[in-house]
Amino acid sequence: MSSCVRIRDLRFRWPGATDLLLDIPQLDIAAGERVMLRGPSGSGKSTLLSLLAGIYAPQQGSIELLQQNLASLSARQRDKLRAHDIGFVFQQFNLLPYLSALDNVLLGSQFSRQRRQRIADSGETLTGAAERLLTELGIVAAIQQQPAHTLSVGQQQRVAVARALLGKPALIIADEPTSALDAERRDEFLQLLFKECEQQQTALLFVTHDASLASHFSRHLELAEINNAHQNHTGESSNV
Amino acid sequence: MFKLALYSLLNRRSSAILTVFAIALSVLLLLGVERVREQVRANFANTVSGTDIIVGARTGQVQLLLSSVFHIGSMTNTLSWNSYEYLQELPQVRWHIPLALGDSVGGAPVVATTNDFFEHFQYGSRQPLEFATGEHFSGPTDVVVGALVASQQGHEVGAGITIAHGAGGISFSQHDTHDFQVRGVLKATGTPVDKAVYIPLEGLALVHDEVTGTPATDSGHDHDHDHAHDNEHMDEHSSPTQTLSAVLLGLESKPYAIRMQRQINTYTMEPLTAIMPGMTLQQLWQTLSVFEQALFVITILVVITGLLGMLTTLLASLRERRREMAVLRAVGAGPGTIFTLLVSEAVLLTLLGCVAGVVGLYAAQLIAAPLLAEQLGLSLSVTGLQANEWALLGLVLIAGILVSLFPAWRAYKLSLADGLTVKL
Repeated sequence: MSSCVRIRDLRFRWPGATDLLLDIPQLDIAAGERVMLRGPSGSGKSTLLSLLAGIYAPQQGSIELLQQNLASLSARQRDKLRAHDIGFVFQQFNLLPYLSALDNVLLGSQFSRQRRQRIADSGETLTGAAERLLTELGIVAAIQQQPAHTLSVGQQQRVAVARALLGKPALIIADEPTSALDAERRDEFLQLLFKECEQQQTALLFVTHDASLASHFSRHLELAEINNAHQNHTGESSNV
Repeated sequence: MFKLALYSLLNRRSSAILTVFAIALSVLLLLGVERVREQVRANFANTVSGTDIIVGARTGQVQLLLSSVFHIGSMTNTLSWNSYEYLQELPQVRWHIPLALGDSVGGAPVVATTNDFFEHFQYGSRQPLEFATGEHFSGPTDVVVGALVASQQGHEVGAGITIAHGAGGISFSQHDTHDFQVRGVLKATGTPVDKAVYIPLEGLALVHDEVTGTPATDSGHDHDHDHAHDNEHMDEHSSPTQTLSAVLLGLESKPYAIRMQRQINTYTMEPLTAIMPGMTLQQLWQTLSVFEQALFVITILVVITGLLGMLTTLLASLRERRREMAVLRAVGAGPGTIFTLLVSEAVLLTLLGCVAGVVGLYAAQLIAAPLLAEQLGLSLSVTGLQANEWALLGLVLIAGILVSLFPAWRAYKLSLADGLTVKL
């Protein structure tokens, strides 16, 4: 199985900070894999995601996404790579409140020609693909045309999933997407997310603080276990 | 990108509408002031055409021009009939129109003149005066009225009319004994000609009990206001009136005007002022240009105020829009896109403001044009946008884009710092 994410000897600290926040010798996610990453808040989860997204660059080490080293890409190329191959689902505020649910989904393809191309290759129209995803995620046609701010939180999260999935990206990064949902909705949401990811052969990196979700995933990582930074507070010692 | 900017703006429509309104108002003012300025100039330039020299008593050049042709202000000095005869005898004089001013009919100025006026006076691009109905004077009690006076006061050919003594709207001494009769109504010209009433010089003498050729005795006249034809001195000439306010001259050859102007200005029998209307108009514009520039600067400042309003709105919106920008970043928009989005918004706002301003300008013009024509005799022509107006609109748009660079840059920085998660 080919590699989707490959992290080696990653070290990151905020500018001006003395302590390392992240020190990850190794992290791999294979294509199509479903990985849960757990850690308490403030442990650097969001920072790791931003590094994967190419928003920030690490001081040391390498992050490869689909065999491309982010360090060798320009900020613009990293933006493009994110547009083409990563879908994001956040805890909340995923949508532009003034666009309809459908337009929010289509936003996912607006900045990526590759996503549009992949949809065209599969024989669908952009709108067709977006509507199909929304319908599969339980957003019926009538709701698809409503402005996003009129949707319930659960509906908004499913619209966000549809947008992240549109155009078959290689990786979905979900950052606490279920924390605003009650238990019943949460399980339903996870089942839909898994089903769609599987259909598209999209890898899933699911970040949460909730250990009870571990049973749903094929692999479960504890950030504290893969991150050496908090054990070495001097941040200077070698750990390879 | 524009679509996104548009939806985002619609989401904040109340502040967006206010911004557009502010820009529209400033654009309306900017274009409106320019337009009125130019049209006033054109109107003034149109008022007199083909007249090479205007002669009056010794007075300011601008004052002579304004009072003789535009009926603005009054003339305190007069020139004598003798001088008029002298002017007629000058070489190169092709035609001459005597004007005696000072009376009024229901507020409209009365111009005492001869039939030469209807024959030789020209306005616009050398258009002669034409009669809508009736014809020129044939007797001393005939009256010709300008188009505007006729419509406002309801004069018709054949109707009686009473000439009042004095220039005020309400005269204390109505010359009721001398009823005149409307003989002709002029076609509209869009110049002060429309606002005046014309009587023959002989008629004026009747109004003022001047009997042609009578020896000089002040015949009990007790009007002591400034007046063009008070009986200062009656002379032995067979003249219809003793004094005139101004004389318009047309020459055989235009270039001769400069020489003749000097000649008349140095006339020794009576202190006279000769002006060339075009030159004096230029002089007037120069006098007014400081005022015009001040007005222009003020309108520019109003535009800047409108744009600053937009700047404030955009900056204020940044805070609430950081989530929106984070969403866009997450779906792959670069910080450059965020920058462009902000500039697009400013372009949209400014464009809408310009369009609304232009629409408002035309609406205001359509409403104001009849009023201005009626009250001031100022004809505002509703024309398409001129090249300079397009240029002004372009400048407003460019200024709008420049103003938006600051919030766009702020948004750029914010979106770089925030990344995908907003730290509010």
